[in-house]
Amino acid sequence: MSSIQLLTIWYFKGITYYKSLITGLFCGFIFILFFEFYFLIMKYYSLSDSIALSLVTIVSYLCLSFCYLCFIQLGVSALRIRLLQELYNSPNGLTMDEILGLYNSKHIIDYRVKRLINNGQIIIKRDRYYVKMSITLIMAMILEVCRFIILGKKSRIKFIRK
Amino acid sequence: MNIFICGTFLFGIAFFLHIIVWKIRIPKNQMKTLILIFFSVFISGMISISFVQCNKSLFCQEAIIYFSEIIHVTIFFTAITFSYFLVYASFIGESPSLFIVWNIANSGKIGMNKNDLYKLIEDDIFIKPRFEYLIEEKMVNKIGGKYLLSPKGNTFISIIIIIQKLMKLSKSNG
Repeated sequence: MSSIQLLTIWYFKGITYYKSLITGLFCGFIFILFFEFYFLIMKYYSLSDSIALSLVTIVSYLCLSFCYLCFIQLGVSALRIRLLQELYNSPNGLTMDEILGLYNSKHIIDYRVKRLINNGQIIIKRDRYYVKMSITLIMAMILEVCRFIILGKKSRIKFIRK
Repeated sequence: MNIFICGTFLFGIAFFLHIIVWKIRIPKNQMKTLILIFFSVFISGMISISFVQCNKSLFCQEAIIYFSEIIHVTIFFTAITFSYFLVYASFIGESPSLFIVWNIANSGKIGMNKNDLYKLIEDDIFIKPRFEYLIEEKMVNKIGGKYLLSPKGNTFISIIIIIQKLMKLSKSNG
């Protein structure tokens, strides 16, 4: 997955970072399906064993891909990385005020809102932002439900609007 | 089939144990406790299987799980466990993008303008706790009122910069 992703970034013009991730994930998935199908046809294992083994391989692949994406994504959107980068660029060190001057919540909002608009997750109408049903919103809802189940914390999303 | 059953069973036990511990009391260092629970269950499970394997005559005649299957179970268990850790990390840490999305979602048909968002998101919510975490993890040192990168932080950020270069990413993200 990662080798295909890197190849597409370096050798295919016009392929963005996100498209390269999807291409890598998709190619890796096809590769796995091909081998699983091959083992099924060759009858190395019984049908039930083949299905269980395929399931294990696919789930492992998807989970490892998720871990890889999270690690790579650190360099894209992690706030801690951005803070470390600001210190890396200042060998003499920075005071808290200087850090907050270079990178603050206003910067985060500007950058993230721009990205959310570009990805179609929020829309802007007469200078006001509205949310659209998107993967991010669904993810936010799922995370809130999981937070409630595991941590017992009350949901911050109003699921039912009055 | 052994791999699927064994991996799912071990993950299920670890998850169940984690929920029980969390219902009693949420640990102070959540990630470390989580790692301890999941990998203790996994190692105990593997030791139990090896014990049964070594004493086949006591339990059954055939091998219940082969060495190659143990490796496969390890990969399967590690993959789902680490994915769960990453999902869990998003429960405890506040993601700015999700924070913006659910706040706009809560505003409904009225919507929100940028000033509303500026009032809502302050440095104390996103920047300062993360900076304190970096100091706690000894990635950043405070020397005479100034913050400097520690050797640990320097190594970590160097790795990230290599990845950014490889992926042709912009350096002014966040």
